[in-house]
Amino acid sequence: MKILAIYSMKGGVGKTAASVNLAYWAAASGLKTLLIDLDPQGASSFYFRVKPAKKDWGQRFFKAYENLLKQIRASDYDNLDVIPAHLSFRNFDVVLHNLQKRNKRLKKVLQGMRKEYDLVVLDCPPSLGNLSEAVFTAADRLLVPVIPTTLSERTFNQLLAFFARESYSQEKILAFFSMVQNQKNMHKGIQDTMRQAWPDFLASGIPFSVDVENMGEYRAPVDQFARSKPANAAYQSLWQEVQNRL
Amino acid sequence: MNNVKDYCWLISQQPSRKRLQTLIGPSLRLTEEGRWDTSIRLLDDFDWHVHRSGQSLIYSIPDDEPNQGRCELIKSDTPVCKQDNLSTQPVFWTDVHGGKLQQSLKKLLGYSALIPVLQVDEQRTLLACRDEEQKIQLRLELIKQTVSSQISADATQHDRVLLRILPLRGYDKEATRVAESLRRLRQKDAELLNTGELLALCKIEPEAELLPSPLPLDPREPTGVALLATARLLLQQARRYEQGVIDDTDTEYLHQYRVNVRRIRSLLSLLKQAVPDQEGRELRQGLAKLVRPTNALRDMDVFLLQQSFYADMLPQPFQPGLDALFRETEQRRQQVQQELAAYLSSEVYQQECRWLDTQLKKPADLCAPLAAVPLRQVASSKILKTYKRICKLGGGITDTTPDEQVHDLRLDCKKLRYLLDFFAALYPQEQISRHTKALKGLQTILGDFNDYAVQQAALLEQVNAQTEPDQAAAIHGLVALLYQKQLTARSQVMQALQTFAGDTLRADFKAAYSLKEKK
Ligand SMILES: Nc1ncnc2c1ncn2[C@@H]1O[C@H](COP(=O)(O)OP(=O)(O)OP(=O)(O)O)[C@@H](O)[C@H]1O
Ligand SMILES: [Mg+2]
Repeated sequence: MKILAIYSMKGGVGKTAASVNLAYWAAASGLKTLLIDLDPQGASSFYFRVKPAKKDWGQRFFKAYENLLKQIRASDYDNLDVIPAHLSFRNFDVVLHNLQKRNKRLKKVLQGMRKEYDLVVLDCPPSLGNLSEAVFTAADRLLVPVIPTTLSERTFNQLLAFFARESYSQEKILAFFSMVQNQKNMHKGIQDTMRQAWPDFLASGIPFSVDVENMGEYRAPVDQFARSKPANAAYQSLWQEVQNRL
Repeated sequence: MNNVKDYCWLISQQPSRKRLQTLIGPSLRLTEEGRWDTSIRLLDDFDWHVHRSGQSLIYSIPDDEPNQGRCELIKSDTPVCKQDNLSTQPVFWTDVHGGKLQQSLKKLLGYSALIPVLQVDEQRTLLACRDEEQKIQLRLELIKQTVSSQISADATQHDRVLLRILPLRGYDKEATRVAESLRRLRQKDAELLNTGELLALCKIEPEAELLPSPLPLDPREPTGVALLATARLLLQQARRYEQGVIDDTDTEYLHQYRVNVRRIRSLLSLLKQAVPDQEGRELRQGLAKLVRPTNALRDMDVFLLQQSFYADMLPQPFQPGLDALFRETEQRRQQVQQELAAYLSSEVYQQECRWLDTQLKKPADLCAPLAAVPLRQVASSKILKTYKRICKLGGGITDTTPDEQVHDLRLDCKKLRYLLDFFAALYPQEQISRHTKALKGLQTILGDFNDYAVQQAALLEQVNAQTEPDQAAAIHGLVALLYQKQLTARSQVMQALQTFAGDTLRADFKAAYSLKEKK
């Protein structure tokens, strides 16, 4: 079983859109996949129409994997299950703060999924804290969406610096360009410079597209309603690249 | 990823969408997810080895990929193992290339060929039950199956309709509720592709085709009567294999034909005194006549089935000679097989069988010495006597005793095995398995010892002045190696005997088959 975290400390960069579509393609490729929506806003749960649990179970999340098992919901797609977010997840940083070995906690609890799943996808909230550090420890790969703008470039470099300082393995990090608008010169230029500085950028990028925006309306992965559109092909090829690197 | 159990029901007729929607109620909306037709075949061998293992073997070809057949072994509708991308419907286990399925089939089938038993044409409709946010909470599947037999002349098609309720993980409550509201449609629980259920639909009864195991016997019945009844059953069973021998479907038909005829012959000689001398002799002669014309073909089959065993034994330089030997045998086999097929289809053969049948159907002549004695009494005394004789013979065998005595011992072991097989129904099952298991160990070693000797003789028989030098070299090489194997088996005989004739087992046999214990 592999753990793939979609992470960025910046908000609104396409983490959830990537989580939903990559988990979808992973499942379609035959991997038994579990998407865990770690973001209390519950965006990826929303895209899969999976309602959050009524009871607050955030306190128990990191205790034992049996707690997680009870929350698993099948999506409408073969091989793809979801653990929906709960509002109480917003307290994860505090919950973890009070636990011993907090960095290893997530990894340990996810190991319980090994028997049933080939891949766990984590849709992470935009932050840097106890939860993200637990994610850095747990994930086999950290997939970072980067919008080709100066600001995003800065954020990405901050992440690399953080990894270096805290001795996390930078090798876990994979990045891809998100919401790419190639008609903008700035987008083009920044992609080139960043690729030179950081060779682990994936070849496939996700274009800025109304079809991705429309996921909110259709509440489904892009493939379900815009099968022949470039954005769909982009996610599919992004998945293939990620799969080869897992 | 779904821990919730599916429901699969037989229902009386295909319900309309409207009716289903009404039963489910307004909280969930039914939408159609897909509709497709499939056609599959259930395969098994002539002796129903797959069915008897509680499994079903399915062969299907996807519509879009005619060269990508799939073979799947399932148990209670759950896949056990499968193999994809088969270009043709498999006949022997070797046709399923590699993998777990091949291993399973090898064990189940041995040398038997698979035949299509049933054809199942399915029309499936998949429905989703969606909540107010259009999330699927569970699925329903309606399956109309049209089943037709591929083995009986009766080409009638039998229809049945199944309803499956497919819960989704995390939504068990809705599934349970829906199952409750649909329950009135249910006739009974069913499996989608259970060979037994589908055969019953076509009125095919494997159990009726096969010999009951153990053979049905009454301990109090006069031995003469039981003997004839059993012989009739066995003859009927042997004749079941005729057509497969004629068609040359696989080598197992002839083997089983011979096994069953041989069983009658040994029964007749083991219980010699239960039929009048003259009659017994004539019967045994009649049976010998049935078997004799099959000897040549069986010998060749045995040789050919050793192909890979022999090939593995010899180094590369001998392989061309060995290959040539097998090719020639295969050619000659064709001829011999056709002769046998002609014989089995001939009037002479039919007459022979009719005569045997009449003889066996005659009322038993109770004048013979053991004919009127209750069966169990005869059985017990025969078993015990044979066991004791094995112990006595065995006691005299050392590593240097002449081979003839070892052969005698082997024959006695075989007799005991037949006795335990025939009379199994008269004793506790656990006891028979215990004794059979003990005997099997010894028999395997003695059997190997004998097989290696027979194989050497059979090989040497193929050498004469005209034999090509490379073939002769291969043969002599094999004989030398087989001789070594024979010596090894021989050296294990004493050890095996010690266990079998040991005090524990001796006391066990005595207690189990003494006549005193009766009454
Ligand atoms: N490639 C794209 N083209 C156009 N719009 C996009 C694309 N990717 C995402 N969006 C839109 O941008 C918004 C943010 O996307 P998304 O929720 O995937 O980002 P996020 O990184 O998960 O955000 P958050 O940090 O809030 O979790 C959404 O409205 C989404 O529809
Ligand atoms: Mg998000």
